[in-house]
Amino acid sequence: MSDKVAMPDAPAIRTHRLTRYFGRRAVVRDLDFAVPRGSVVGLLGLNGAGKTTAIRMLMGFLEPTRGTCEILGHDSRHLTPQTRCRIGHTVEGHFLYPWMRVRECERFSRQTHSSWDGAMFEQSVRRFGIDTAAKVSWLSRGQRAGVSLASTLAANPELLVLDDPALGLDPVSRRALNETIVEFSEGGDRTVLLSSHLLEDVERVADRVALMVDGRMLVDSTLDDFRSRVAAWVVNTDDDPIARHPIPGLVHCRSLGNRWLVTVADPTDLSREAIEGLGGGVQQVDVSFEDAVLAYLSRSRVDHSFFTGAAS
Amino acid sequence: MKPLIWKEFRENVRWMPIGLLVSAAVCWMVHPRYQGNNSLLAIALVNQFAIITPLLAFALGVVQAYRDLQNAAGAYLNHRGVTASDVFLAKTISGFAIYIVSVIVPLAGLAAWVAYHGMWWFPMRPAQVIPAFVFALAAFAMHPAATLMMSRSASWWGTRLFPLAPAAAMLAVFYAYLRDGGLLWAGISFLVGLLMLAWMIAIARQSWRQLASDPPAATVNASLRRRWLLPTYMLVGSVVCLTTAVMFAIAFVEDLSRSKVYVPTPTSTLAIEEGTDKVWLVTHQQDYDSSIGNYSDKVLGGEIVTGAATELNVMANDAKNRKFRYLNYVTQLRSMYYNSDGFFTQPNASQGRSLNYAYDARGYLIGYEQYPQLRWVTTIAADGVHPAGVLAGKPFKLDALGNGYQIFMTLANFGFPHPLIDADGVYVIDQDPIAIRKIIDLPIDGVSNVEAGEGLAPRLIIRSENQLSEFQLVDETGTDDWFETQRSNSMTRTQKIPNNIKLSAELVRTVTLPDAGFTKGAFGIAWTADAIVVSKNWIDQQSSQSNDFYRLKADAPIEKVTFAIDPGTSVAPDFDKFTLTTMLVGMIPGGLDLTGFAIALAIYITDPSQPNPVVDFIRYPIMVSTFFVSFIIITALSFWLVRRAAYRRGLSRQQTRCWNWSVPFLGLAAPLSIIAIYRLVHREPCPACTAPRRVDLHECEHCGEPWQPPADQGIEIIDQAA
Repeated sequence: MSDKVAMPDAPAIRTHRLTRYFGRRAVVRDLDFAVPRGSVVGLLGLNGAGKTTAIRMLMGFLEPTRGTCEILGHDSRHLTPQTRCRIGHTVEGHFLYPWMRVRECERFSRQTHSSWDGAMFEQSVRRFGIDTAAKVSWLSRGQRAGVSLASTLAANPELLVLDDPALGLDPVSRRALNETIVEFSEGGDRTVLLSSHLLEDVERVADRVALMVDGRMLVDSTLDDFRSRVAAWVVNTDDDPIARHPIPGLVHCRSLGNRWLVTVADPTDLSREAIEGLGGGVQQVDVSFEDAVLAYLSRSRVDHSFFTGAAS
Repeated sequence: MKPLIWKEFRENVRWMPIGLLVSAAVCWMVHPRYQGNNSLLAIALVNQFAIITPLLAFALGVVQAYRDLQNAAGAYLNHRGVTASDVFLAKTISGFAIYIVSVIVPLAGLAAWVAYHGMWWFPMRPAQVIPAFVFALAAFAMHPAATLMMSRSASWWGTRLFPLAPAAAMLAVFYAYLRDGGLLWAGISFLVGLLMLAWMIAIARQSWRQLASDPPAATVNASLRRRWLLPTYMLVGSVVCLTTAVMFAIAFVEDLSRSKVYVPTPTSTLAIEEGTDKVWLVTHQQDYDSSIGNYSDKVLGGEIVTGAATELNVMANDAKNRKFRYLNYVTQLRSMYYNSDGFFTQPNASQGRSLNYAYDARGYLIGYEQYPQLRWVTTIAADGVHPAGVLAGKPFKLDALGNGYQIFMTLANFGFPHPLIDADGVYVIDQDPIAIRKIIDLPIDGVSNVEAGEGLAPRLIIRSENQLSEFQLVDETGTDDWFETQRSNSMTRTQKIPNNIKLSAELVRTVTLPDAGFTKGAFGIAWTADAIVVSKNWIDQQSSQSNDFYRLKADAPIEKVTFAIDPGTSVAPDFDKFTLTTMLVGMIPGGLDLTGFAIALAIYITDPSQPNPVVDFIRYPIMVSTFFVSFIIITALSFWLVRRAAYRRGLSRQQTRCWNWSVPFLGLAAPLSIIAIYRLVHREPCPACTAPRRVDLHECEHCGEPWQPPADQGIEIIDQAA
């Protein structure tokens, strides 16, 4: 059986109780996660949540302390060059050799990948308005991202793993990046794992969302499912309402002046009763994707004002 | 791999000019014009290259490894259709190309310059750059050592420091042999160097592959099967580091405890009494005599050796106020005198000679005129004198110039021109016109120049197999009246030197050595009118193994005289005392101690005239017991450290037991090796049994409880597809 057709129905990425320690600190702990083939998954999390560590373990650059991870049906610890050629990967900051010219980047990548779509490279480079005779060190951050993405896509991968590709990009470059990802994912049974801090971009291109908090995966579902399962209420009270009344499924409670925004996952009758029992005026409000994600992400960090230093 | 090599070369070729500049500067600096006429090209070049080439290779290894071990660059480079081995080998190949070009180009330029100038104003030839080139080749070992050191997950105490130590130690050995080893040792070192490089590259490759995936402790601490190269290297590294540290500590302590001014030490030895030619055992010492501004020998005591059963008093007053001649050595001829680089000896202005002579290892003496400028003017071969510019005639066997100086030092010190000696005979160089005469035509295995009584010229003793031939050096009158003993003070050299004598040699007598023990190694020899006295007991009594000597006469049986020394009168310094040095020696790994002991024992078994290590053990009870106490303390400490290090690195019982067994042989190197080889494991309290359990194992090693998944927080949104 050829490498390419191995286990066609299996998820593109699957982890089982994936754990990684750095020294005494567990950065990723018991991560169970799967990326179905053909999906675009947005991987979200705060800095230090373990996204990049998880991706490095998936790509075989870091061995798990315990647990396993598979990518395209292969154990990540033993990826062969052939399997690597089936996976496109761009790293945070879009690393390229600064002394190379864009054409040399293309040649270097072409010579070190088993398949290469030169037309795809040219098309992607054009989209970012890059001169192929230019040195990488002369390029803007957005243009470097373009070259990086073009090199990754031209290898015709089945799976694309992007680690914060839009970091520091201008709006036009971001749009070009998103369009490229969407076109890639529409071109057949291709899978994308997109790690990002830009919720708009994720909402625009992803069909699934995975949310990591403190090394754990709290959300792994479709965008619509995620949105539908998170609800929020505004409570008019001066005091922290959850200090006295525990609320089942509480994700986060955030102060809005003399009101509180209470976000709950999978609200049940019990949750609703608890919220209504908080007293004062209670009003359910719509929850956007961004609100829902931020509620989850805020759990691990007390929101402080950088200006006053006070907890908000 | 071709694109990877191209990438590495393009990325790092910018360092080549720096390498070229440094190497070129060194090749410029070793020019004899800047080093002085006492400098020889090969020595100067190897000295300089011993400093710069390991640094160049190390720096190149660091810059090549550093960036591609960073997360982003590493992922960009490694995530393509190549293996980690391909990446490492590409780095090594391109690094070697850059390094070798930056070394070879200046060396080739220097060799071309030397070839163009020839030897006309200094003994130089292009082949003298070869030892430096071979050293540079071996020094590339620092490149893979640097990639080992740059391991991002390494600790400075572990994999960062230790990889450099074995490579540096090996380079020190190469330096010792290449500095003055000539082409022979350059050839041997070249072959050994290739093997060493292959070994280093194989080790670094194994390490690089691990770095590509940064394995946790559970993966690498379990079994050394199929990955023994790196652990073995780290073991060697820790032993080298420990031994070097102990040696430095010993040198420091010795330097602190040693007197900074000359302290006269009495020595007991055999000697011949002037006038009577009787053999004595005398105790004497060298004292500084301010009246002559030099050191003079002072006899403290001694007795005649008669062969009677009584023990001799080495401090008896009988010997005082008498004059003695001490035994000299019969030594082997050397292939090259020690002031050489394996190609030439330093140009030397012998007393009474108008020219500076250097010995060319190809078997010729090269004569240089000093004034008005240094210029090659003559070539002396074993069969005649030839003009400058050619190496013609029958070459000498061995260094005739240096051996002559060494053997006839007595003459040279008194200002006489010394004869030449090679394996085929003895020669003299006549001045004005310059000519060479062979005065003794005899195969030579060993040779000595012994004092022959007050006012007499020293005699030449030649050993051919088991025959000793005594020669008298005579002038045109057939006597040795030409010899004048001059005042032995600092002003001696200003006296007139009778340098116009034409010496020849006359055979006086031939005797046979008593046994085969005298045909190998050195032995003591003295001249008397009726016999030649030989003895293996020519060192001071402290380390003597045989208290006897032989009188050899031409036509009489060999007379053996044995004697015994009254131990109560011994003046030998008391070595047997407690010293910090002995304590420090106890820190050296026991395996090295055992190896040293075994070698000493093997030497003693093959040559019983050498010190018996077992007897030495008994002779120095305080030193030996100090050593053993220190060794036991260090071993106990090492056991404790091994247990602790093995626990912290999660080694199995069997592994810990193996390391415990190694402690007597490795000492402190055992825990150091564990720290260097294995990764630290982390532990957390087990929720079931509360004992600290390893985080990299699925079950608790104490109670067998598996890790429990984290409790749900009630807010997880995980759909069916996930």
